[in-house]
Amino acid sequence: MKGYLREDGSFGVRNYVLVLSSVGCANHVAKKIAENIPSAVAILNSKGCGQIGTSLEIMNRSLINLALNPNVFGTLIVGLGCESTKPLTLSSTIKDMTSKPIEVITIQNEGGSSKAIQRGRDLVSDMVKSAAVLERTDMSLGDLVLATNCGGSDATSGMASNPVIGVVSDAVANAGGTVMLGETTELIGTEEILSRRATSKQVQKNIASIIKNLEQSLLATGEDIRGANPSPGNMRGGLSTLEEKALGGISKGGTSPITQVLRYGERPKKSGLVIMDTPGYDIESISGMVAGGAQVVIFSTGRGTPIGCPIAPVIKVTGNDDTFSCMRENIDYDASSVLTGDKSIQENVS
Amino acid sequence: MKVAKMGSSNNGYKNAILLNNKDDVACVLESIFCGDSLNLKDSAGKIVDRVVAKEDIPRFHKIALRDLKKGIYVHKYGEVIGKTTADIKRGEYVHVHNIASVKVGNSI
Repeated sequence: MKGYLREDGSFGVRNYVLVLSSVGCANHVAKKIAENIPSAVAILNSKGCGQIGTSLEIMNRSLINLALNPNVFGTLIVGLGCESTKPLTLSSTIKDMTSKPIEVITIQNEGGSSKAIQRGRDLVSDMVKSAAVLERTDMSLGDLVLATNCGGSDATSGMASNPVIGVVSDAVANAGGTVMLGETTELIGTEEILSRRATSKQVQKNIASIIKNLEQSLLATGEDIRGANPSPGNMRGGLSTLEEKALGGISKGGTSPITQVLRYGERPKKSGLVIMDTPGYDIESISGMVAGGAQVVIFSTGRGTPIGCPIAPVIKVTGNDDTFSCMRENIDYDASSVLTGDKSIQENVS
Repeated sequence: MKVAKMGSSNNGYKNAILLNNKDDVACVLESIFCGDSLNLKDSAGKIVDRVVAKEDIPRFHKIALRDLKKGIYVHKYGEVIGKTTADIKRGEYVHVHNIASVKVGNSI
């Protein structure tokens, strides 16, 4: 496989110029800047202002780390000028961490939307020209940070697509790469199992703590996730217990030891299998893992989903052949041969 | 959904998938009727066992691979998925009527 070698030794499987909106107020301008410029992509912001404490910390970390993702050649930060995320501070923080091209504009400073769009398009066009000079060179499976996620699960997920993805995850981890397992909601019920696979006491403690914090915050709103799973639909599909459902979910991470637990959007310091504390909502979960440096997302789906990510390919795998034929344009790989008995789990990967 | 191949190619055997060699249960890949014979295939596709169903089992649900006494752990994916709430014989259907979570209701 080939990729774009970055100055820190990482490889991008894509070579995008990122237009990063630091606040919802700048989304339209950011979108217009990237429009019709090949290789330029905009990431729009759902918030960026009116945020305080942990919420703001997560937003800042995610924005900074998205710019550091190996798939990104350079970044233009587009802000309004008065938001909590402070675009100029974001820019200088990123510049301290990388030698990638980083530019910043604010709509207030440029004199309104039109001027900001024009100035932004000039900056991005220059960056795209520099990006186009880069050529791809050889990279290995060990250079990958692979994010795993599932959504729209059905009875086939835990039997076909997740175990098939688990074989891929093991291959990446064994080659020296990093695999991310997220969606903390789906880890509930597997805490002892994950804990046994942790490489240190600290990792064990962190696994217990992210699950406990989530469960407590849900209980505080009156929701008992243990009692709600498996759902009646899950049971009709053959799932008998919470543990069985959760084990089907974590099987997509493979069988490697767990080396680190990451906060949302945090970059891993260790290779191997890592857990990131992400929510069950697929788009948020994927965004966090891509901010954490994943160049590729592998996504397990039973019912089918069109989900993508502006800066990383999201490879959709289904174990349901009806879904594969019905949503052919959205799904990349059909693992249903595991369930027809035509091909084994391992044969689906080789 | 396509149904698993039947008939001469499998010599009348239906398929069940064993996700981990330690498991006490396997998932059946098609609707099973009492008396059906099943090939048990591991994740590499190798037939590791053959079992006769003692009950009807819906597609994708679980069959017991060994006799399991009431009150013991049941393994799938190589891990505990629950405890038996009744004696279960090899070839019987395993679901909410004879196994239960050991996690629900427990604090962490």
